[in-house]
Amino acid sequence: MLFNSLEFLIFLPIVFLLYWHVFKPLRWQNFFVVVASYVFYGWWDWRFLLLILFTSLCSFASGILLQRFDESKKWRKVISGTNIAINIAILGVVKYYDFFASQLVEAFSGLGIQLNLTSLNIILPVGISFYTFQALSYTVDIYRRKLEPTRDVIAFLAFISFFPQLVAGPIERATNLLPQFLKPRKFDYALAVDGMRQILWGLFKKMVVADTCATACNEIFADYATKSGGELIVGALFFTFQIYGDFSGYSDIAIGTAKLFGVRLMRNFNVPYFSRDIAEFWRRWHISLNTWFVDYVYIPLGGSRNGKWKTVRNTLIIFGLSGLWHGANWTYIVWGFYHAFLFIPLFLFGLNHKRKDVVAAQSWHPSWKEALQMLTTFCFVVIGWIIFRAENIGQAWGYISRMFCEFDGTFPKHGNTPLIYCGIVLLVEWMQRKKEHAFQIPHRSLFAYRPVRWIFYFAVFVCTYFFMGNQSTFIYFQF
Amino acid sequence: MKRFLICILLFSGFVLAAIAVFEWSLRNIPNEFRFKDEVMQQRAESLTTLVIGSSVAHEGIDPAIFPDSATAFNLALSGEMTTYNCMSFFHYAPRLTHLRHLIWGFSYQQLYFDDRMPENMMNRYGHRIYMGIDEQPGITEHLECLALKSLAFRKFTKYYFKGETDEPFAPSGLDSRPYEEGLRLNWKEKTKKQADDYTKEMRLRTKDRDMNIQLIHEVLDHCRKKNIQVSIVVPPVYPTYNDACDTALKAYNVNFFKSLEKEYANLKVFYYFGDKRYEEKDYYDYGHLSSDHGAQKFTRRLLADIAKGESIYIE
Repeated sequence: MLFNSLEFLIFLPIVFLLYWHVFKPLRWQNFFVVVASYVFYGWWDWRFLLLILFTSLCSFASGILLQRFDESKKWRKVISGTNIAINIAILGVVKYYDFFASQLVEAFSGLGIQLNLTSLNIILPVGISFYTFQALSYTVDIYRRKLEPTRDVIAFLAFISFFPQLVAGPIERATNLLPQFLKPRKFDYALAVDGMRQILWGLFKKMVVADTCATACNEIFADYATKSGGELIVGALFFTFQIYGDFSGYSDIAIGTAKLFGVRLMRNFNVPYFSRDIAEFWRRWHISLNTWFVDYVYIPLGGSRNGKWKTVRNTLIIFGLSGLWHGANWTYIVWGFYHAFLFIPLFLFGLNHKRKDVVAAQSWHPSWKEALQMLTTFCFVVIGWIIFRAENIGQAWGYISRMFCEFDGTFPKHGNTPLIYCGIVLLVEWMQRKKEHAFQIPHRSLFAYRPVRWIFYFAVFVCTYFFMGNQSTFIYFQF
Repeated sequence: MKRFLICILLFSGFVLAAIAVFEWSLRNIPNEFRFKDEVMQQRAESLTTLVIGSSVAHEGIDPAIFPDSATAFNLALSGEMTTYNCMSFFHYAPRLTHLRHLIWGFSYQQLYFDDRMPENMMNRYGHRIYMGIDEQPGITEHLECLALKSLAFRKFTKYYFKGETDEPFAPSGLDSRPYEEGLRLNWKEKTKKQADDYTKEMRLRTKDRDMNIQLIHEVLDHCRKKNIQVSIVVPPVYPTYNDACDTALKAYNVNFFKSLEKEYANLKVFYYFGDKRYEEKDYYDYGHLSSDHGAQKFTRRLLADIAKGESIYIE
C-alpha cells in the first residue's frame, strides 16, 4: 500500500494504537511490528513475503553461525560469503537476469551466433534491493566484529521488515536500527509531533511537487523529438524535482512514521540541490545507499589507501554499481559512470572532501561564489537525471543534444505551474537547510501558539490535497 | 500519549468539519447536472420529446420552439460524449413512459471518446454525484471535494469569489451561449488547431469508438422496442472548421449513420455538418451555434426537415 493512500491512512492509526496500547511488552511489540510490516508488504503481493522471510532467515542464521565459528577465520569467511552469495544471487536473478540475458543474446547475434536464453519474466518484488542490502550489512558487520549477532529472531525480522523503511529505504544499518528493537521503546511526545510534521512535509513533496512534475515530465519525455530546447530544459527540471520530491518525500514519510513508533531512522537526504560540487551532492543524496557502497564495497576494495589509480578504479566501480543498483538498463549504468567522471577530477585535485559544512551557514543568502557553485553543480545533476530518466541511451542522447541545439532562448509560456511548487520547496528547504527536515520549526514567536501551528498544518494539508497531481507510485519502488 | 491522541483527534475533527463545510458549499453552487436531474425527476413521466447529446445539442437545439415544448426537454450536457449519452438515457429510461421522440445530437468527435477517461473529472463526478449515473463504490466517489480536489477548489473560488456559475439555465434545457459572449473567445484563430487535436485523438481511440457503437445499438434497440422515433442530428459547424476536420473521419461518421438508418426503421438522420446557410452571428464558436440566434434558426429548420420525414445529409 502506498503512503499516500486511503488504505495507509486506515492502517497507520490502527497499528499505532495497537503498538502502544495493546502490545506493550517488548517481545510482543516486536512481534506486532513483524506482523504489521508483513501485512503492509503483503498488500502488494503475498508471494513477496516468502522471499523477504527467506532473506531474513538466511542472514539471521549467518549471524548465529558466525558466532558459533568465532574462532575459525576460514569458516567465518565461508559463512558470510555464502550468505552474501545467496542474497546477491537472488537479487541478481530476480532483477538482472532478463537484462543480462538479452544483452548476451544481442552481443552474440552481432557475432552471428544465436543464443537460446529463456526470459524469466519475474515480477520484481517491491523493495528487494533495499532489504537485501540491509540484510547484507548485518552479516558483514558481524563478520567485521562491529556488531554482536542477535539470537532474538523476532527483533531481527522486525529490523529487516520494519514497514516505514521496508520498500524504499533508508537502507538502515544493523548497528543503528537493530539495537532499537532490542530495547524497550517509550512514547516520546516531542518525537511523535516532529514525526507528524515530517510526514506532512514528505506528503507535500510527493503529492504536490513530484506528482505534478511527473505528469508534465512524462508528456515531454514521451514526445521529446517534437519539443523545443526550452521545453526540454523545463522537462528536465520537472524530472529533477519529480525524483527529489518523490524519493526525499518518501524518506521523510518513512522517517516521520518511524518516529511515531519511537524509532529513529537515518537521514537519507540533506538538501542535495544546494550542493557546491558533485562530491558534496553525493554526501547529501540517498545518503543510506551511498554510505552503504562506501562501507561495503569501496573500503573493502581498498578505498583510497592504495594509490590514486586504484582509487579511481574503486570510484568507477562503486558509481557503476550504484547505477546498476537502480535497475537493469544501460541508462542507469551510464548515469553512474557520468557521475563518476564528474567526481574523479575532484578526487584527483584533492577537492572531494572540501565542503562538509552547511552552505551559507552564517548568512541567510549564499555568496556569489556559492551561488555559482550550486548552479553549476545543479546543471550537471540535471543532465545526469536526463540520462537516468531516458528509456535508452539513444533517447538520452537525443534529448540532451536537442535540448542544446534547439534552444532559442525562449521557454514555454504554459504548463509551468509545477515549477512554482518546485520553487516553494527550494525556498522552504533553503530557509531550513540547517535543520533535520524542513518542518522542524522552533516554537518561537507566532509558532509558539498552538492555534497558529494548527492553522499552518491545516493550510499545508489543504494545499497538499487540493494541489496534488495525479497519484503515481513512488519512483524508487521499482528499484 | 494521551495528549498526543487528543491533539490528533481534535485536529482530525477540525479537518473533517472543514471537509463537511466545504462539501456543503460546493453542493450549493448551481450546476447543470443537478438542474437537469431535478427536471427529469419532476417531469420524466410527462416528456414526449427528449434531446440528448453533447454540447452541440446542448447549445444548438432549443425545445422551447418544439410544437410539444411543454413536454420536451434538452438533457444534453456540454462535454458529454456517447458513453454518457447512453448511460444517461438508460438511467432515466424506466420513467420515460410517454417518450415518443428521441433527438440525439452528435459532434465530429463524439463517437470516439469514453466519458469515463481520467481527464474528464468534472463530467464524471457531475454525473455521479448529482445524477447518480455511473456510480462507483468508495467515499471519495461521493464527495465532490475529495473527488475533484483542485477542480473543486477552482469551482469554489469561481463561484464564491468571482460570482461565476453555470446559470442561467433555460427551462427547456438549452445552454446560454449568446453570440456576443462567443466573440470574446477569439475562437477563429484556434479552429484549425482544435480540429487537428480532435483528429489526432480520434485516430487513437478506435477501441472507444467500437464500444460507443455497441452502446448506440443498445439505445436504438430499446427505442425500436418501445416504438420511439429517433432522430440523429449533426448540427452545422463553422465552414473553416468543417474544412479542417479529417475527410476520412467525417466520411466514417456519415457511413456509420447511414448504416444505422438501414438497420433501424424508426431512425432518421439529419446531418448538417457542412451546412453553409448560417451567418456569423449564428455561431458561438467553431463547432457550436449561438443560443440567441443560431439555435433558434437551426431548431426551426430541423423541425421542418423532421416533419418531411426524410433523412438529410449536407456534407
